[in-house]
Amino acid sequence: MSAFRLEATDLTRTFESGSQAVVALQSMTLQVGAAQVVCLVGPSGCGKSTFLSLAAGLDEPTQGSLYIDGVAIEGPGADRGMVFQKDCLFPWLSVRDNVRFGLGLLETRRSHGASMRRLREHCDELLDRVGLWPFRDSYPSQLSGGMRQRAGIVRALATRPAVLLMDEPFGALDAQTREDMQILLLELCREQATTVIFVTHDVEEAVFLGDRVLVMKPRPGRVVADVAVNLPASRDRHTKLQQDFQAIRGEVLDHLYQVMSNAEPSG
Amino acid sequence: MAAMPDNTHSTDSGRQRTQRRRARLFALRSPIPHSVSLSVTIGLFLSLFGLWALASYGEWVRPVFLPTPTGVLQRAVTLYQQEILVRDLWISNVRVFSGFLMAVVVAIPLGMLAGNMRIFSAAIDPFMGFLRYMPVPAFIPLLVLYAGIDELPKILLIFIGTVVQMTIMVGDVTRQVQADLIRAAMVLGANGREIFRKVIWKGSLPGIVDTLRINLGFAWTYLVVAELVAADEGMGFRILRSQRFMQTDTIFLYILLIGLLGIIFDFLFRRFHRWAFPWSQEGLRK
Ligand SMILES: Nc1ncnc2c1ncn2[C@@H]1O[C@H](COP(=O)(O)OP(=O)(O)OP(=O)(O)O)[C@@H](O)[C@H]1O
Ligand SMILES: [Mg+2]
Repeated sequence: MSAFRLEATDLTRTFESGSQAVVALQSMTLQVGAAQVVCLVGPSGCGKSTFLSLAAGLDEPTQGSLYIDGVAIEGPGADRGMVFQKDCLFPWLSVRDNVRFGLGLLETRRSHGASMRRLREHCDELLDRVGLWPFRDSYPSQLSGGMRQRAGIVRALATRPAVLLMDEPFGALDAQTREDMQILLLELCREQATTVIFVTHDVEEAVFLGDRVLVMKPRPGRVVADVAVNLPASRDRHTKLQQDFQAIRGEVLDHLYQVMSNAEPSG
Repeated sequence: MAAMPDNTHSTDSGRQRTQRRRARLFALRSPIPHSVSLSVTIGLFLSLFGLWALASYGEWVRPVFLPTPTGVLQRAVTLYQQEILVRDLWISNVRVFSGFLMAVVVAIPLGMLAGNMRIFSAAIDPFMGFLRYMPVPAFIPLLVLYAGIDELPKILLIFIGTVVQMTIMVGDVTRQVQADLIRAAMVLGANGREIFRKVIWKGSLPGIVDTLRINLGFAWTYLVVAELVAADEGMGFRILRSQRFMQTDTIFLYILLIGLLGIIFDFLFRRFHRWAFPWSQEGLRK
């Protein structure tokens, strides 16, 4: 096992806006193992979304490369799923058809009847797992925010991607729903051994979900700290009350404050 | 809103409740009871009709300016018996829908292209902007010159009158399909064609149907202009000719009929919209 599940080497992305060049991401190097959950935190504009776009294959780096299992990323692929801050479900499709959207596309490309049937069943299972089975025929606009976000996660997991990319997916949810979703996400991803890159503004969420928390700083966007979260893999509501948890949270916050105070004077 | 003096016997809270209920009828973007909505609609039509009846039967206005409702009805019967009415209705509908459908066939593809590919918007958008302000009736002499005096120039005029606006509106509608949805589809592995078919087209459809509904109205407003071109039948033609003979009752009849057709088509379009796109209805979630 030489190759990492997700690897970034010297990854740089600059945006030319007028005469100025914004270095959204500078020489980022990152190695993420299989089934690892890595959380990205950092002030606005530090390149978190930029990194996710690159990993999703929606954008191309100015310099450097990204690999999945040693293979360079060129455009989007079924090996990666993405969940957005807004649920981004297709309003004209029922929940179930939304979740099967990716499968439908796969079906038109190849004709693996048997494995397709398995994936379809897997979709239905996931819907059931997240409590959306009774709502499978509803349109997204008929669901609550939390339900929509669950559907978004199921849609991203439907094709069994190796890597799940999440950009502040729970930012718009209330505290209770948010906690439920965090626990659900950990469960689902552990079952499928999914590698997760999770962007959040909430340090507590980052420590709760992550095996590692990367702290980033803006202008230019860089990773300034890589904090290992040495907590037991199985996490529940009580985890957040533990002393270890609070200590790690404090460590991440320290890094963040440092980033903030450095970033402030330069404007 | 002053409290109505009709509930002097009710308790204070009763009056407050009525007041609150009345205030809710004027709340911004909130649903109101169906019965209220319907009675407001019918009430407006009835009071306008009542005003018309009062002014005409009461001879507030000279009959040559304002015919009576019965006068208009009688005229309708006469024209029907002379086999003019149905013929006029038919030929005008054919003209309007021919021109309109031609515009639809041109505007939807052009609008979709302009809305989604920069190279087409570079070609189409400025050109439509250029055409948009041109007065449609000014094309009549050219149309007669090029297309003669049969049906074609009339249909072309309605086509010209609607196609520009329709293209611009379809372009706007398709541009409104959220970039986020397109990104989501890309991440799920959709290629350009699939994004176009499964996301942009699907997401634009309700807006396109709305655009068609609005533009059918525009098409009808060009009818009278179109029938300036050497027509000898049709609703627009009949209206123009009746002016010469001071037949205000015919003018009233035909204008009202066009309005009635408008209500019917509008209703059908809305019905279709609700039936075809249940997901895009306001207040779906209740
Ligand atoms: N398409 C673009 N064109 C120009 N500049 C961009 C573009 N996308 C991002 N940027 C710039 O790159 C930098 C990083 O943006 P990015 O969206 O990755 O930040 P972020 O960490 O996700 O911030 P937030 O927490 O607010 O979502 C910002 O300065 C932003 O202005
Ligand atoms: Mg972002």
